[in-house]
Amino acid sequence: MARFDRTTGRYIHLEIDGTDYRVYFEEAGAGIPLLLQHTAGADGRQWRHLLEDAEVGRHFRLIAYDLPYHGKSIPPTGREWWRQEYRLTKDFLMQVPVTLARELGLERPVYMGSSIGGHLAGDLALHYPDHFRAVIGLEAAAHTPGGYLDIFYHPRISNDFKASAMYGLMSPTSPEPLRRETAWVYSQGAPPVFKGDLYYFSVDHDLRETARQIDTRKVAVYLLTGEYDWAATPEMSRALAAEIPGASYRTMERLGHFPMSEDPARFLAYLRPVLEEIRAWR
Amino acid sequence: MSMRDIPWQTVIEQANRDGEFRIAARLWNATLRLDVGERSVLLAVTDGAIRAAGPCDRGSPCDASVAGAAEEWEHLLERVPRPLHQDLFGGITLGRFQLEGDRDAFYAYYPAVRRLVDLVREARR
Repeated sequence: MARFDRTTGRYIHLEIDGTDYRVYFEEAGAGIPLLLQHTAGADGRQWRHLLEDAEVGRHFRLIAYDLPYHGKSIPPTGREWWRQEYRLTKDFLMQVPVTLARELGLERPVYMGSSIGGHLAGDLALHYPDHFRAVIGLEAAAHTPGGYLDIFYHPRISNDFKASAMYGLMSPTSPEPLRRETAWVYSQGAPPVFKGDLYYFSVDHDLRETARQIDTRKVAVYLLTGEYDWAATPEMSRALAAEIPGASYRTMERLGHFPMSEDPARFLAYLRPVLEEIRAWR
Repeated sequence: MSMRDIPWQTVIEQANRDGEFRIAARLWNATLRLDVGERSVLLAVTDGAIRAAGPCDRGSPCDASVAGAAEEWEHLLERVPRPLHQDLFGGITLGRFQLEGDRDAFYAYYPAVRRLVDLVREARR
């Protein structure tokens, strides 16, 4: 008898800034909608372990999407995207989960993302507090300059470098097969995408002057960061949480930049209390 | 840490029969100098295999060099590195190590360098 995962996938059309984007997403579970944003240069496969967790899926409808230009969300046919270098902006990135939630008819979903997705948690809480009941930022910071580098999109440097560099952002204690899987996903991104995403990570995202304006009475803010993450360190995340009145922060021991994919079992030990609190708070 | 703590002959033998290193180092021809505190070692890679590793003068000609305080190398090469010290690229990014020379070629072969760091770590056990 065939053995299937719980997760199913399909495509949805999102119109953003007048362009039609065919976006792929996977989902599992039922209950409070929980949107899952992947890291820079990757795709929704990073969430496959969480999607398969039956206990989380008993209370949450988990929805992991591939950003346009990532994974199965191929570039739009309605614009000549190949004539300009790919660059992810804050405004566009924010519109993806907001538009997806609207098109799916989700009622004030929870949002969770890592790295650029973690940064986005703060930006969504600031700019779209009425759209989300809570945001969970993994590996989030107010500002992470210095990452928008030519070495991440260079004719002499292959995607192998990105995969290897991301391997080094994980905890050496995380299971080797899952670290390799996480790095593998990085080797598969279209060449310009990782650097383009880092435009948001290192240039366009900046909450240093505005984080204190986030109203956690409208949208709860939870930040979790792996202690081995040298790109968005625990110190940075703790500092961001301190700027947001009512935000909570916790360092995740023996985890790095990709908690959901490098060691999902360990990550879940930190995530479950947050999800339980969100359920109680709804 | 001292360069004398690293059994380079063992590292060379391990690297040259290590599947991951050999794949990552395919077609690699380069010299790489590692400056560990006040001491340096020059690695010669030809056709994807390490042919030699030996002490050299600081400033010896090479295609690329990575320099760091002995303490930083010690942290990087611990059996289980402490948080934020587990990766050479991270160390370069954070300014703990200094990369000089042909940076593009170094990063093109970073997967081999990263694996080499693993092998040095294992050889020191």
